[in-house]
Amino acid sequence: MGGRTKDPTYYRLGDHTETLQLDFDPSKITYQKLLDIFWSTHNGCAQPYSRQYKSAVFYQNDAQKKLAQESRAREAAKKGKAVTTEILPLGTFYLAEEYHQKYFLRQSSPLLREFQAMYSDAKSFQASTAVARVNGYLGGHGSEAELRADIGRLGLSPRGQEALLRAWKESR
Amino acid sequence: MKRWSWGFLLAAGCGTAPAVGPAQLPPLDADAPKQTETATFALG
Repeated sequence: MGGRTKDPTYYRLGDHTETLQLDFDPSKITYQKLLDIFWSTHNGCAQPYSRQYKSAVFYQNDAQKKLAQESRAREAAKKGKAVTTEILPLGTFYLAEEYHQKYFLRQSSPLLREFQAMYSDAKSFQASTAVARVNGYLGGHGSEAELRADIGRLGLSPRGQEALLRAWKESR
Repeated sequence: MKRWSWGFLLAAGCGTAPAVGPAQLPPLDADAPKQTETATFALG
């Protein structure tokens, strides 16, 4: 995202930056809340290691641009120093190669097999809320209460649910 | 993508409804909203 190289790949990233994109229902979570999570999960004052790994907000419209700029100003005031995170217009978003998607889930063959049986193609697998959450839990994120609230809604077999709980505990 | 990106996505409750039949989907996916906005971030 953010560069001019056409159809970038991991090994030919050109002038792009590694980026995540998510769709959300604004009646359930606001863009402001997502910005709050964004600022709490990265160091906006760090000097970027490279263009590949710089931090940025890519706004979709003027409303997002205004909220992003305001949130950056608040972050700078809170930290008392300059914020390097850039606020940029949204361009073409290129999906990473399939082998980069859902990294932690790919390390768990039984759970991966269960999900691959549910989805007819890679695009559906990548876009799944359940898959994204399981990948996050396997990475050790989330709380046990959140995991237990979600676990019956992930489409996993009883054995798969047990494996996920065990893996989450081991990853903590 | 760095490790903490997955935590960000989890915290944001991310995901969209995949384009497969609802009978095949986990309940979380079947409940996914159809009306959405898009947010895009680079976490450094």
